[in-house]
Amino acid sequence: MKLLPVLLSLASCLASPAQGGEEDANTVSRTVAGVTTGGRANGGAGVASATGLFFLPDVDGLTFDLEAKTVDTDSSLGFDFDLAFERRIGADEGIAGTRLSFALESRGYVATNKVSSHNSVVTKARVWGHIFQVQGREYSPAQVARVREILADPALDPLDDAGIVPELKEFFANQRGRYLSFDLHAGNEAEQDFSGSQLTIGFGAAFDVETILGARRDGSEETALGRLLDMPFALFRDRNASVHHKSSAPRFYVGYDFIPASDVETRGALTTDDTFHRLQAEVAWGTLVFERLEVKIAGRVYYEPDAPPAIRAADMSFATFAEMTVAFPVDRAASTKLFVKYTTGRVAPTLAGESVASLGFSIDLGQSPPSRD
Amino acid sequence: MKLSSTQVKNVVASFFLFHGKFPPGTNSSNWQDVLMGDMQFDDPPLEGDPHFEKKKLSVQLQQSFNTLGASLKSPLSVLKKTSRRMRDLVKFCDENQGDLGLFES
Repeated sequence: MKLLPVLLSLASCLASPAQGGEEDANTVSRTVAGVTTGGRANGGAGVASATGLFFLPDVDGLTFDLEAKTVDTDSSLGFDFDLAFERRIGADEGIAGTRLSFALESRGYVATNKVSSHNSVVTKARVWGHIFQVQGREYSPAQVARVREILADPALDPLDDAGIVPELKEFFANQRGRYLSFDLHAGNEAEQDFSGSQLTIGFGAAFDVETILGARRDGSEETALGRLLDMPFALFRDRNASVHHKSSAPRFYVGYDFIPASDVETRGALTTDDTFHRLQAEVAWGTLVFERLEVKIAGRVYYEPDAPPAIRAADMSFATFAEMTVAFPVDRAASTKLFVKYTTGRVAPTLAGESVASLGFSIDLGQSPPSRD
Repeated sequence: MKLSSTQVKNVVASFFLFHGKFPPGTNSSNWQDVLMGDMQFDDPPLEGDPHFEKKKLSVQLQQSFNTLGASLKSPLSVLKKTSRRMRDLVKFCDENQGDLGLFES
């Protein structure tokens, strides 16, 4: 098991974290076996920085997640990243208006040996909006006054052992509803060295089980599907971990893409038809095991409905991809997490098959120290 | 009618408690120090919509304020910043609420 020595090396480095107090909280970096790795980075108060490595300005709407890793198959180094910048279009109309925003996103799997990772860098510009339909009953002025009265009590402690008061629980249960997010997007799917790429234009919608079935009568967050998925993990969950935490419902995305001109070698070797349509579906879900172990599962399916015979024969008209991550927060204050990730399947643009086990760690950069009331 | 600072603080705490989003170890004394990055929003993200859960929670929090007679600008930008803390969200909500004019004071 090639991962074990690296894991032990990482663990020993993380055992004495640099985050030793407020003076360190704005500057975080790690150097492991000669490889300096950063992690999820977001602009905090002022300028987020990792010594000599990152300077990320505190710009609203800018997020940057970076996971440094080493790959099991050939010990090559690499990183998975997720960079996004988003700006609202028009004024904030509250929930009454459909929100429109523009987002620029780039996400990828990169490794020193490109065939060792999934060799994919996907960059998209996206305009999105949403629809929200509240399903709860309306509150009369007297009922609203009662809830406001409860909330105005300075002695109210929602997180005490007694839990949330029943009237507040009922109130929030009545704010639930069906939520749907939709988008138009255009982007580029490239190999990590940009030797092959293809443009995409499409649309899609994201939703969860509640969008389809509606809110549960008791307003509970948990759906039957969510509970079923969570059951094997809940058996191993520490009781303390469940006090204020519930497993989220699975989220889904379905979309359509038109690819006007593919310039990817794996496809070009099979067919001259470089224009095609593609359907895509995704699911993502996460939960907790033991006390703080995070389990994250994501899956993706690509389907080319009118694929040429050569593409069908090469089994490239239908492709699946799955990613499972187990992450352990080593340092709660710095959100430093050690993770083991297993990815298998094929992603655009190459749709070349790989199964990759990797490990690494992520760090939140630019955290401001906790302030006091 | 706008909410008082105490009401805003209690709405935010109750909202995320109801949705079960506080990480293990959160209690009455430390909940305002919890980082958005520790709330596991959209973790793992959908590639097609990496902020779906945050967007939904933002709208539901706005809806809660609306029902209580106050408007609220979208808190999505705060939820998306993993380096922001719950106290930053409370402050944002306090400073970005308005009167919907639904109820007489």
